[in-house]
Amino acid sequence: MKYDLFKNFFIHVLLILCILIIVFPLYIAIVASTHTAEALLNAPLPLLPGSEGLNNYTILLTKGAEVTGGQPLLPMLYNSFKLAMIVSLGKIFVSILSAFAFVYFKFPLRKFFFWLVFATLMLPIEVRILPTFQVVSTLGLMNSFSALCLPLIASATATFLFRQFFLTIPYALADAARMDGATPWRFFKDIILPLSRMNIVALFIIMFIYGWNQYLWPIVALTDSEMSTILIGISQLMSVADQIPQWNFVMGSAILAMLIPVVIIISLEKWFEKGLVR
Amino acid sequence: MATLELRNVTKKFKSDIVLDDINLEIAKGELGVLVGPSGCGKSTLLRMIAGLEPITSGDIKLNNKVINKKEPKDRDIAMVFQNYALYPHMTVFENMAYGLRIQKYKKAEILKRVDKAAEILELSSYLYKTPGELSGGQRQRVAMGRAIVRQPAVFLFDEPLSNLDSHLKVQMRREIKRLHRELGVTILYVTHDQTEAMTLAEKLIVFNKGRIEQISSPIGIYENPASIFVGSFIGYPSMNFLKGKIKNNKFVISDNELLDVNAETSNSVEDVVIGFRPENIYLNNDDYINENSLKLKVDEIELLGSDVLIYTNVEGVLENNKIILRMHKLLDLKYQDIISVNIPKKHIHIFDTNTGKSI
Amino acid sequence: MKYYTYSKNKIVPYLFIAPQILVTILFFIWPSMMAVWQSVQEGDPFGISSEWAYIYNFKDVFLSKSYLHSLWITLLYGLFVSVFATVFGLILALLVCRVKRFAYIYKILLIWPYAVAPVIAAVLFRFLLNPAIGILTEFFSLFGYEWNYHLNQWDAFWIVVVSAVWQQISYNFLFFLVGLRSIPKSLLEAASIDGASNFQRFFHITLPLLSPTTFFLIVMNLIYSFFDTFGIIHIITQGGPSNSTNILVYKVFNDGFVGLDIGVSAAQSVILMLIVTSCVLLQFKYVEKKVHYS
Repeated sequence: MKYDLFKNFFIHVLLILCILIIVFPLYIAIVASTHTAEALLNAPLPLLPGSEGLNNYTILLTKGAEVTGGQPLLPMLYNSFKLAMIVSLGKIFVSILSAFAFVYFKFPLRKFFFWLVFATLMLPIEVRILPTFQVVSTLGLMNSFSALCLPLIASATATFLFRQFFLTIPYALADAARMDGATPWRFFKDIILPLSRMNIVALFIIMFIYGWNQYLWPIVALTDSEMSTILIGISQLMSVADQIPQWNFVMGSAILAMLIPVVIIISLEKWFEKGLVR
Repeated sequence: MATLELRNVTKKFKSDIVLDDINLEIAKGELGVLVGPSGCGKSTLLRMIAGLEPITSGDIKLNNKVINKKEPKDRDIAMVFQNYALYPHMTVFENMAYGLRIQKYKKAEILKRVDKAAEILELSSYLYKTPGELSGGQRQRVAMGRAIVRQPAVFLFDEPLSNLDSHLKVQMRREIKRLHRELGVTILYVTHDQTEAMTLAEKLIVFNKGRIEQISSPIGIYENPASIFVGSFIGYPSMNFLKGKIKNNKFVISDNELLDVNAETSNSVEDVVIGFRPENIYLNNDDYINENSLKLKVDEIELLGSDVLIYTNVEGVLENNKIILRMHKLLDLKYQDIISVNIPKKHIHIFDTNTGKSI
Repeated sequence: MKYYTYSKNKIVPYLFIAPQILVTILFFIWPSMMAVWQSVQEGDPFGISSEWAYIYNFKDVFLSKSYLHSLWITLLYGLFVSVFATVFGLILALLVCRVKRFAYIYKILLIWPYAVAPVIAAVLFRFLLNPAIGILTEFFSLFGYEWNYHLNQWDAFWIVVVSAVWQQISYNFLFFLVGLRSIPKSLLEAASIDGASNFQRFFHITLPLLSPTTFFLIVMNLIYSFFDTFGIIHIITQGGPSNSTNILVYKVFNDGFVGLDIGVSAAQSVILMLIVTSCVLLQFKYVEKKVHYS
């Protein structure tokens, strides 16, 4: 009994240590974001929060870090949010419809289309970045929000997950709906959609984070700073970070950039886990 | 006049024949039961009648109108599914009303019909619960209610009781019978359970390997099975079968003259199988030995409570010699005892070994 | 398999798949085909004229020292990231699995980095390991080590590995935790009755039962390290110093957008596609096998 108690204590200590290590970079970032730029110029850096936090964040959100020609972060946050929303909702819309068709219909070329769609599972956008860029500019979509979102929507992950889920719904429900006289659209709207609620929420969380955290494609597809996402903004801050150090602003931006996805994941942890691990 | 009529209905999957030339009639208000082992094609047949699956050739007629090409909803047929197939996110009321809503019935009419069905099925106090909150038997009733509210010409039941425990099964069986009696509807019911089939059916259709083996009343099928399959499938414990030849109206196994039979081909010698039911075997008294007698060696005795099953082997026969007896009282028997029994001629059925058909 | 055969209107299924097919063709099939086409063409940077190059672009790629170096770096990087993320994820999951109290809080505190973009992870570590002011740099100097990822190739390699692993541990942790919790208690109890020690139980029961999860995670970690960590490289090292962190996906980006050698960049894209495709096919094959067994 005593031995067990000790062992349990040991495990807790070990876990807390690991968590401290993992949380440490975040803590340092928060601390740094509450000091003046000058305080962070020379080692040793402060390990406790300063008093400039409110001021720093206000400047960041409304004016941006001026020394580096920075832009206010609020519009960037809004852009990131818009991107994440469009990508996640777009993906869910596109994939739930096609997964429905693949599971419940038999039609000519079904296999062909199936493989066409599922081939996208194999290639993340990072791999085909240059040709995608060329296609988007051929289509004259450069520097538009649709150019930013559409290529990110073209992935079958969500389709695959919805398909897996539909296959677990007893097929007899489709039979019953047909006996009841439901058209495919009504069957989809009245039966499949309500039954998929949980999966939709779970997928939304994952896709939102996926969209929010996009980096390579936005820097390639966007040149207009009006549409900059928060990550592009940070990248610009970072490109001069060693010449004109403003680590307080850099860290503040980082905190702001991770705030929304982290809050989402923590508050919707159950759904997130369900969506990710299935 | 038949309400439901199947004419030469055939179904092929690629080159496999799943259903072969099915002819069947269910009269108005009749309760027909399709019984057969799993995988014999009976559920496919039901789905074809419902319109959930296309037929390869033949005609399905409802009230003398061919309905082959019609959508399920236009067929005036309702179906009760094996796993109930209730919409899990809808309440009992919504489940029953869904079909009517789609057909754009007036609200008042929907309300009236659902209320009435719920009353018949004793579901009135559960109308606003979801299927997840109901017991198996209640879900079963909702599934039936969904069919009832549509007031169809024919009800199809696809193994509706297979997920219930045996106690509930008996109760629901009686409920279905009561419904049939009260509503006077035409029903085609599919099951693999021969007890269920026997107790429910007005017309029993025995199905095997995509073909109809026999259509008759339950008692007709029980007493005059048309084939070895029917004899073995209907009745528990199964009919006893012995393989042998007929010589001069006697059943012979390797030169042992065992039993007298009523063979029509009197003197010929042919390969046959004879069958007789466990309850049609009678024990000989010590003082009176019946002529049509067999000597059996006891192997195992099973008590069922009301009955006793005695597993035996025919003395002097080495293979295919197992016989089960069903007696009404416990006898003072033990392992390896030899008993003498008689089997009245009229209870012995003769089948052709090759075709399996009754002779 | 049965289908919702709705005979009256044959167009319906096509309407349902149309949006997906459209975006797939426009933004996936077309670019991919284009990459394949360009990889066998030789053209000027402005795309005005081009002619067949057959496999010469590929030959160029594989003969170039910098590409082979990049390939080597990518593999090394993938290996370290996968191994560390898998092992730490598993250890943390095992620990959390052993405790009853605070398990939920520990879980939350361990999964949040999943939501952090690799780019942000890179920003955090660039600050921590900044050669001039980084807190960890100071810490290292206590031991007499002069950390400088701008100059030292291995320092640069490790800083990107650490950033990537830090972000990826949470993903591994969560999958292992779910995997561990789905192992039937009765199996472990049976093993204890048979006299198996903690270690034996772990190696003879837990680990084999986790092997599908582990395999899945290793493939996912590889794909993550090969492609998703572009941002980390871009923020911290830009492939340097002297190409020590120039992984393939970064090189494709650089050669294509900065070097403007379309043919060679396309050939590299095609090779990358083949790498991912084989990873994913391996995954599918394994998943299929798993389904067969269960």
